[in-house]
Amino acid sequence: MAKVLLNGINVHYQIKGEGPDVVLIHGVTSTLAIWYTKVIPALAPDYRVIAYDLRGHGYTDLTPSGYTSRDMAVDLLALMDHLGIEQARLVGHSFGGSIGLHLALLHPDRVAGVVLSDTGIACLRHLRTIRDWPGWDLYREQLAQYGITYDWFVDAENRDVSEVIRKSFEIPQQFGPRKGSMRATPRLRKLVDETNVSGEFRQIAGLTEERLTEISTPVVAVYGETSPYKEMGVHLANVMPNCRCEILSGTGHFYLLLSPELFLERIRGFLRDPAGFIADRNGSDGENREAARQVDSAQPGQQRCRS
Amino acid sequence: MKELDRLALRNDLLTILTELREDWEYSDEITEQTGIFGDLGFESIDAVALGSAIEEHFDQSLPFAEFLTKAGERQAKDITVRDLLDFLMVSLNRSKERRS
Repeated sequence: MAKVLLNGINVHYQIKGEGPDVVLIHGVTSTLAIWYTKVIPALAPDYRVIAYDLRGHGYTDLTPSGYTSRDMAVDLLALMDHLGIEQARLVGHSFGGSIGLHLALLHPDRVAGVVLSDTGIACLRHLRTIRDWPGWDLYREQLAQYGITYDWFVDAENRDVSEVIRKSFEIPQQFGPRKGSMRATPRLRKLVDETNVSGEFRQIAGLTEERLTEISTPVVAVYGETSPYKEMGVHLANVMPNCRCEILSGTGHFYLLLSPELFLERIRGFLRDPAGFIADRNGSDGENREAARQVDSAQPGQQRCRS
Repeated sequence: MKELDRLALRNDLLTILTELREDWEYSDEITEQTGIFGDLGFESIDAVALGSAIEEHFDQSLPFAEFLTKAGERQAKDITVRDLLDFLMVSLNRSKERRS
């Protein structure tokens, strides 16, 4: 198992394949395992794929604090330095996308492109549509079995998100090889009980709405159609200079687990040529790229969402 | 060509499992029926680490991600030590054949 001491913690990572560097960044309470069965094997024939466990997650050491997107971007930079990666394509699921954006903000020269996989961004919380989230219709009865009603959720989340995370421990795993088992594991409990992760990952930590508009790195924002975060993707395509939004029909926040092939299909062109993909308003390679640039500059964002 | 010795493989696998989870609370004997998730308390990331440990031990790349995917697709309730042994027997024999 590959580990390296960075910023005072042992960081666990895996590397597969050869080619341009793609770094995979998982979300809060997840691990690099989320990429293991589908995404890494699909990308490794064309890229050197690096997946790692975030601070406090998986086999990476746990610390009491250090869980903002800024802290995590500093950890990521140290890992890239260690591995001799001058510039990488970053793929972040959920909070992992905020880490990718934060690194692009702090060190634009080190980031060739960022893929956001249904990322909820702290400074855009006002755009989250939890009240209208279609998922309530899909999961209402199931969640009610575990005492999670809409009112409880909204209230608890506004007070202290750790309560929501603890509650989620009681729900059986919905995906993966542990499907049906309790979500709670000793590692997860330790992370939530012994660290400030619940408060810190929701901090804006310098990644403000204004600073987001300064990021000129190519970004593709891939959101699930029924995800409560979808409007964030649409917004980013409107306000960031080089961002496109891709909406995956019939999917929600966890499409990465349920429909990884759909996700991979949408990001392949971007990973091949991040700048070219963004310039092409149809999201396909080749022709009309310059025309697309002109349209996009005339009508920022209007042509940049695709379902 | 001589077939791989299943008993020797089993011993290798038990050594890898034990080293991987130094702090586990499982005190019963590990048998071929033991499940890595249900009995040994593995998390998904432990399964990934097990794949890496197996590849390091045998010093070769093995289709462990594919093995985990197939277990998920057939809605297996758990992955047993026997499943792992079967996987190792098939994969290692295949790579032996390729090399010879």
